[in-house]
Amino acid sequence: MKYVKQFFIILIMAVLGGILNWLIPLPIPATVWGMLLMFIALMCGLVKLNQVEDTADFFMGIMPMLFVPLAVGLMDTWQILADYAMPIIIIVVASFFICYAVTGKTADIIINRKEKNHE
Amino acid sequence: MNNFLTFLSENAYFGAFLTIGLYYMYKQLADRIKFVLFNPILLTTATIIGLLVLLEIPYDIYYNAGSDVINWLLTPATICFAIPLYRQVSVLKTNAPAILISIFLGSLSSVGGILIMAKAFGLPWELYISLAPKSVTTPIASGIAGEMGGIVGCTVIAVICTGILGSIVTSALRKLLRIKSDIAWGLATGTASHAVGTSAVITVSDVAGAMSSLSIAVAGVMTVVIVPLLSVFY
Repeated sequence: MKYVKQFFIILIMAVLGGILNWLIPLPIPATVWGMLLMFIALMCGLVKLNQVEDTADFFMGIMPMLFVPLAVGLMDTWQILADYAMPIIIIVVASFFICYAVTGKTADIIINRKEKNHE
Repeated sequence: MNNFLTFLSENAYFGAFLTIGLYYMYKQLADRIKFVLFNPILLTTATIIGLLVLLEIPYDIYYNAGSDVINWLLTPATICFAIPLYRQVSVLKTNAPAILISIFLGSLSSVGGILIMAKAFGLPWELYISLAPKSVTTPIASGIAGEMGGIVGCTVIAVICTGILGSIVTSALRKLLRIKSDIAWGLATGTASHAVGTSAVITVSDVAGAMSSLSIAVAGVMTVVIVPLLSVFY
């Protein structure tokens, strides 16, 4: 019954997340609402970590595999990607470097300044 | 051939059988080979597409034969992402300003950069929005792309390729950019290349690994807000 209970708690968040997605006119996916609700429930102590942990670890473990059916869907939309292959590759690579540099340098500057203030 | 297709479309398991079987096989191999380009998701996807094209099986038949159930499990799995987020909260408290400001600026520059480049290249909306959230972890990125009319398959592949790129270059890039602290290194890796990049720093430094893991969740949540706001300008 342990897993039934844990799975049920997760599904409560899924349903509530769906309701929030429907009620609130923001492009926030139902799954992300569900995730935020679960996080809030854990922070408030409404849900205890050991009430969801085992099932959560199972899901986290298999999660990469769950994306395969969506990715295979590319076979039907292949043409549009092929038409824009070069721009897509450039955007993926360049945005990675931009994001990395901005995050890393910003954090480095803030941390170094903090350490200097302590000296 | 038509008989074969009819048989497959009436068989409720072959899609799940292919997906789980191939993923298991590639995952076992990947754990042994430990080579970052040998990515189980990419290999499983490529193999299944190859098989379906070769045998002239339409995607819908594959999808409805149990793959829909696998896809259905994504929602509970994404919700479970709250658990590692919750486990990371104590790490967040140690350096909150540096963490929140740098992840926010990093995520903003990622989406902003993609917006500007996509406009310059004249990408259609559906491609732009498929790429916009690609720095963050797959469940969140695919949720954003799906919600806003993107091609989710494209998002999944872009996210994984970004992660692989991150895990290959993160050590060299740190030296190139002269990032001094391990904290900053972890934040940059996790924000720009989510869990796949994280796996490359976690073996080198505990601090960087913890920061990188934390960034996956924080950048994911911030990007959920940033993408719709910035996309007004597309």
